Amino acid sequence: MNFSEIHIGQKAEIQHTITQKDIEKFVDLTGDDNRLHVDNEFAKNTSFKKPVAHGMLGASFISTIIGTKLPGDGALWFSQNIEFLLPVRIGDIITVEAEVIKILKRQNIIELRTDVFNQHRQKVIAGTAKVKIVEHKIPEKEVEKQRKQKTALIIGASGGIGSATAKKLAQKGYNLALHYFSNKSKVDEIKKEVEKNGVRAFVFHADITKLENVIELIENVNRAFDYLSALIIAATSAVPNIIFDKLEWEDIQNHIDINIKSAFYLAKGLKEKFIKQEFGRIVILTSQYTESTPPDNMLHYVTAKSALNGFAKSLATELASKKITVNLVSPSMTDTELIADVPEKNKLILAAQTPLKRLATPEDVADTIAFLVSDEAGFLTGQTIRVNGGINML
Amino acid sequence: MAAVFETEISNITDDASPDTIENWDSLRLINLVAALEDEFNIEFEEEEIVEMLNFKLVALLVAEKIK
Repeated sequence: MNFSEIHIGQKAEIQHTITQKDIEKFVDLTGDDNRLHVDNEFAKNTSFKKPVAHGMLGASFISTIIGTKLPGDGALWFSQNIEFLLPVRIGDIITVEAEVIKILKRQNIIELRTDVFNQHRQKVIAGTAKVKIVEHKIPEKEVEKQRKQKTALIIGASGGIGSATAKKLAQKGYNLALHYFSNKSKVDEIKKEVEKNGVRAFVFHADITKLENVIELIENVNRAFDYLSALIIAATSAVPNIIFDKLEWEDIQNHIDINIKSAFYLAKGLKEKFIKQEFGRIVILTSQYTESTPPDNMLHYVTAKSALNGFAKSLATELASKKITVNLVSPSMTDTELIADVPEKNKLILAAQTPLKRLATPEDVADTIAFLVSDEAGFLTGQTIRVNGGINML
Repeated sequence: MAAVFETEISNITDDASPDTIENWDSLRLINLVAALEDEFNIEFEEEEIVEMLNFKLVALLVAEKIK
């Protein structure tokens, strides 16, 4: 994080469960084998009754939060006062909180409140830290090099279209940040596969409907890559058929959250980075149902996707002057796991009615996304590219 | 099917459709439906006939009826 991005009241937090292994590693590292920490019998005869974790073990996570979160890379931690208020034991879940309480602009120094709480919200460690932020300037040549070495964040990389896009972009030499929500093993497989192209790939988990998760995801992406060319939002969720009589507002809200709230958080979080780079590509997946007669019982889905179209076009207008493009890709029914439950007959009928006589494949969609994030698509923004074999011509 | 559409059996592939078989028109399709109904002792609804867009779909619709 750069000094200019820091403000008073800014917060970060991490959690950790203290384990026996943590204590053993701490003893190995420091040689502090005080029996109060390692000997059950000894501890039994003290007022603590059970072994207590080393105070500095809990406090060491203050280093983690300063070094990785607030302010993160470039932090030079030069002062800390600390008070150990309560013992921490094996099995305790500690939450380390840091909050910016003072900013000394001239010296690039910030002061942080650094408190540690246990799972009962009891403060176990209190303190304040002083940190100097060492600016990390990337040489012009390096910027140019990174620009050529393109990088993309794919939201929903474990899905059919997300994974096909990852493979396509890796073939084109993109380094990748692969996001997933529930299917870690699939995304780990994709990571292995794309790395065969000689590119770097990182896997990140996040619930993109939660702001704190998106912030953490973007922090992780920023730590992995100095430069990010593209954000591709290909997240999908199951779309149950619900008749209007049974439809609740929550069903609609869920789809609005998955489609728009997440895109809003992600675009907000990456906007500054794209502006600084004077380059940014955002590609969002929508649905052809928003532009033709919608199918029965999908009001919740079609409503959210229609709103997403408006969101993307407005965003394209807002960000165009900053050299950031925003485009939509609208595939027809695509042969992925998402349509596994669609009756075979319906798929055959749709394929037969499509002028190009087949369903879309994830690769068809990935090819279009790869074009939209490329330099060649620099004069396209606010557009909807329909990958539908001609079934819907507008 | 080949007899109804007056074409070679080899032309009746999975993807055979009005695009690939010259004689596949609406009149002959009705003849095909009548032949299938007689052969398998089944009956098709009007909306099912509309779905007979290629050989694969015809086969699937027949399979659904005789199941």
